[in-house]
Amino acid sequence: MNFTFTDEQKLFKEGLDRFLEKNFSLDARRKMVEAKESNSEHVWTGLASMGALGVPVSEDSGGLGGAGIEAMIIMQHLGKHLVLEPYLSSVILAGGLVDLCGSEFQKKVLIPELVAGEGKLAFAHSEQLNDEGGEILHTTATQSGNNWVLKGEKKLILGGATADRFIISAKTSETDDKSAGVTLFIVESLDEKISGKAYPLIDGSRVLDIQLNDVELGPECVLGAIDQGQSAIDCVNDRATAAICAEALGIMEVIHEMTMEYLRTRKQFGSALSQFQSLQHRAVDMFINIEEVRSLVMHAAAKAWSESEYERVRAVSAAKALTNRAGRLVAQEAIQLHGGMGMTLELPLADFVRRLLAIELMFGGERFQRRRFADAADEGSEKTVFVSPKKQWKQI
Amino acid sequence: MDINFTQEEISFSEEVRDFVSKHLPSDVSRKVLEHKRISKEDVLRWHVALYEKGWIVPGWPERFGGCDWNSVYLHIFDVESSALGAPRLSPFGLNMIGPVLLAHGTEEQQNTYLPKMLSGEQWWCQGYSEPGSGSDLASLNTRAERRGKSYVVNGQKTWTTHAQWADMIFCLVRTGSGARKQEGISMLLCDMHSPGIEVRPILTLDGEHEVNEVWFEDVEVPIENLVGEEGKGWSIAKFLLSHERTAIAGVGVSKRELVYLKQLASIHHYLGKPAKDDPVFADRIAELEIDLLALEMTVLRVAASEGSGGEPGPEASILKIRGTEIQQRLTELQLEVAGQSALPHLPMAWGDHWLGETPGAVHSAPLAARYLNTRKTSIYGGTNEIQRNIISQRVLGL
Repeated sequence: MNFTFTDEQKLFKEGLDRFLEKNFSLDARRKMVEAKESNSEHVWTGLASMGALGVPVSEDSGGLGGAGIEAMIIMQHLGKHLVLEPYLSSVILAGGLVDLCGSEFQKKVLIPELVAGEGKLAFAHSEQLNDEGGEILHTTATQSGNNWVLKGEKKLILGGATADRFIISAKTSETDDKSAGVTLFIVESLDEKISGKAYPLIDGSRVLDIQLNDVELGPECVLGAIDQGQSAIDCVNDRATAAICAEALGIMEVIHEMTMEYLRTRKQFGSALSQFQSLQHRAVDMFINIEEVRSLVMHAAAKAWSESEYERVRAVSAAKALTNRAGRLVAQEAIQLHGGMGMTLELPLADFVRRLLAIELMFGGERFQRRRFADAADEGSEKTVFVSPKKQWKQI
Repeated sequence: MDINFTQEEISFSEEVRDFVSKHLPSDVSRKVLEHKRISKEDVLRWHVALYEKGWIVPGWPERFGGCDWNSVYLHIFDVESSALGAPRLSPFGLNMIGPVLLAHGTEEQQNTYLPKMLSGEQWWCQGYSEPGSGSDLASLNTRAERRGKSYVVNGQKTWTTHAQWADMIFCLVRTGSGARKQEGISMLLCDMHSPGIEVRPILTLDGEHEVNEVWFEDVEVPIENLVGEEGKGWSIAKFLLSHERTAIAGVGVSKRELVYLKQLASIHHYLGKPAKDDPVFADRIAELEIDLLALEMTVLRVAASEGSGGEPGPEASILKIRGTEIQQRLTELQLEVAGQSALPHLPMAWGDHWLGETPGAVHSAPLAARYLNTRKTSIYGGTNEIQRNIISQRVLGL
């Protein structure tokens, strides 16, 4: 067990930070949001030239290798600078599916483009937004000769508006088991049988809803085995969840720093706010929460790429449950400690708070994640050390 | 960065489990697992087993009888041995004054005290708090006056845990005065059997005798029992307290108590179903388990950053705050799950030779008292409010 970044990781981290510092700003973000843009090509190609878009795609598939820790570093910095680029959706989610399930040919076509920043992918999966953990897919893919016909609708596609291709999940068999009979398909976003609309979320990032109006696909568009898509979906969703927790960590660090700065400079009753013990203790509680998130973000980063589903689910759900709870506390305390100024849209704090809120609402809420964590723990081979209580018979 | 246990670390866990299951007396582990009263004798039997194995101070350098284990090994040992019901060793020697003597003691002091501390022959207690000096420890009033080759100590210490078991006490005393109250404090090692020392029990909320008042009336302490320089005891006191905070996280014990909580939640019912199947109980248990996981990773992270043998930074205060909060939440949830079966109160049933009936359920009987006892954790070792002051000043710079 070793908690130190390697020299390579340190260099990558510093390079990324410098690049984003120089090429992106909160002003730029606000202008993009206003202009309804969801990525800027110079940031995206810059990330590509640093190698960030090939991480963590396996080298066998044409990526640059790396795994959870590298993804954590990238996401934490995207959070710190509040970057609006489809890294999570294109590389971790959709790219992860191609990495896990793609044929040699599919990887050869898709991965080099992805790594070079020339082709963006998005994963179109959600359909209902009102049944967390209980969702059943209604999109179907039916066979017609050698081809497949997709029909249905997909909602809240992250990075959808700028994607060149979608990975779409659809039911290919009728089963009672909601996780069975799911197949993944690669679909060109230009396909004329797809219609849709893009719209903003609370944090200004944009997502896409689409209708699939009998989209016809050749057999080469099937990604992975027929009916066997669910386990890869669970896997990339967990990786993305671990990654988004790292983004939240980067955001919380900035919010905390802003709040500390405000406490040191703002004066009331003749002294800086930082002199009041009741405020100091609230600042400390923010700090402790962030350090706990950091611990579980590292843990999830290490386990999200693990072979063991049990380890993966436990680590990821623990991280997301804690990130949601801590994120809410950090945001609320930051607003409170900033007083009236904390309520304004003018302070950069506003953008960070809104992104943190968006993260809380995606990839599973606190209760859902705790439930998933607990269920995994029950199935796992947890050793029991408890000595069963023995009855103490009356002795004569 | 690689947050997985190495093969070597996994084999080490097995080695620890194997040793503990063979050498921890089963009557002792049962008492620990069932929250019965633990006697000095119980602790000593485990202490001696570890001493004979060479594992009594595994984090210390080899030349002082340690094993030079790094923080990951120490953590594995804590978790594995606690899981099997190892009693907590008395920390006052091994974790507190021991490391102080390694860093600040004279060679003579090291030779006099360390061997007996390690063998379990000599037991220590801690003379820090006074009736008028709790969180504001530096305001302490116990005085030591230099007379020839001795200091003469007068005053009163309080909250002294297991003073009734101790042979020695390390004390903070006032030997002079300075512009700041932290100046003029010295650390003395004092024989508990000296004339003029009186130990008076304090009974705590749970009805047990764990802490004491220790009174000093013209107690003579040889001058060679001064640790470090006269008047410079405050920095030594702080060194000791920061060591105390890392150990105080108590991850191993909390993991064991979490397993116990889950067992209780399968035995005890709520609305006709095992409590663990009630969504609200299940959620609270999962929340606690996740917080404990975060604490465990934070302990490993903080320990890794300080390296082996280094002094823990002010971040260690996080571990004290969260560690003790989790210990308290565990006792609260255990009590809540056990419900009315934890009502009967028969302290005699927690002792060694109880042969009578235990009303309620055997495993729930000590839970109410343990809940009350555990309220101490956010107060001792520097209250959790003082820990927040430390983080505020020394980490956040407020």
